[in-house]
Amino acid sequence: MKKGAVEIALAVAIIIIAVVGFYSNVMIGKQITKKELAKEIKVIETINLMEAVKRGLPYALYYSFEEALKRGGYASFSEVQDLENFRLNVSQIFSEYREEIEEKTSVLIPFGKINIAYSDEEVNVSFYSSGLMKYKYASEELSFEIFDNPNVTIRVKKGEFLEE
Amino acid sequence: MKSIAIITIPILGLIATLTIVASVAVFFYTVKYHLEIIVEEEYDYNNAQLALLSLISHKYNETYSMYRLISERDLNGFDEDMKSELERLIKITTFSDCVKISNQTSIIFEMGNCKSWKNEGWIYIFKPYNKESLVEKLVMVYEERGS
Repeated sequence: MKKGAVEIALAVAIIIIAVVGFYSNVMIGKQITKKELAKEIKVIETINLMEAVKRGLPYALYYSFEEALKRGGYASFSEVQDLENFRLNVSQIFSEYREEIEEKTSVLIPFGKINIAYSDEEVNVSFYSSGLMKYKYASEELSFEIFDNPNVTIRVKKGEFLEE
Repeated sequence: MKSIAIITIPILGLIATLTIVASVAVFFYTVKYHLEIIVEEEYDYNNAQLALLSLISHKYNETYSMYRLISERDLNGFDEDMKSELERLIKITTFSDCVKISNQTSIIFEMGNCKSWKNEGWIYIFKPYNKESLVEKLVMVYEERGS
């Protein structure tokens, strides 16, 4: 009878340990899954951030074009005589935006070249870079880099930006 | 004396076992408690950022985008037609009747009377001819229907 009590005590102890072990394992497993999801969410947020910056590039390029006209004292593009100098001015203004966006968002827009092509009807302004837009994230648990193509071309007709 | 020891030893053993198990359980609960706080902070994802991105990607009309409408509102104005179109698109993108869009200093657009701002998301947009900065942070908060 007394021997039976010891066996029961041991059995109960084993059962308790097994139950607690199983429960702990399940709980920790859930936490790890949630942690992985949290990492994915950070990546998604960064992709959205990059996409918003990319969507702003055509508007920034148009602004650079307009601002270069304004600073050069031109009423319209047809008045521009020194195209190379005008192109450099557009490039400089666009670079100011590039630097500001990097400072505010940590999204790096690479150096690139402004090209301007025109006909009687339309002016095409392009930003071309062989590099990629980049966002780098690093923490103790997660690090990643996201890249995107920064190249953009806008069409300007009679001073108006033709949105695609 | 011997018979007392025979009874006492299993009881002590059981108590010791329970103590160890309880200690382990408390340890894991403590870890879980702290993990949950961290996870809750990181896991608090919602649709607001995506809704905001979707909103600026829409067209206002054939020649003008919602992006431009919002970013150039100080230059070109922000009339009732624009606001009603914005409201229509917000309802589509957020499924909410209660939304607020703001920058870091002021409210740009607000509709509904919210009790709580459960969902929050932000993006950066280009803002032309702005003296302070060419980059503006847009923040959207909204309350889910039925919350």
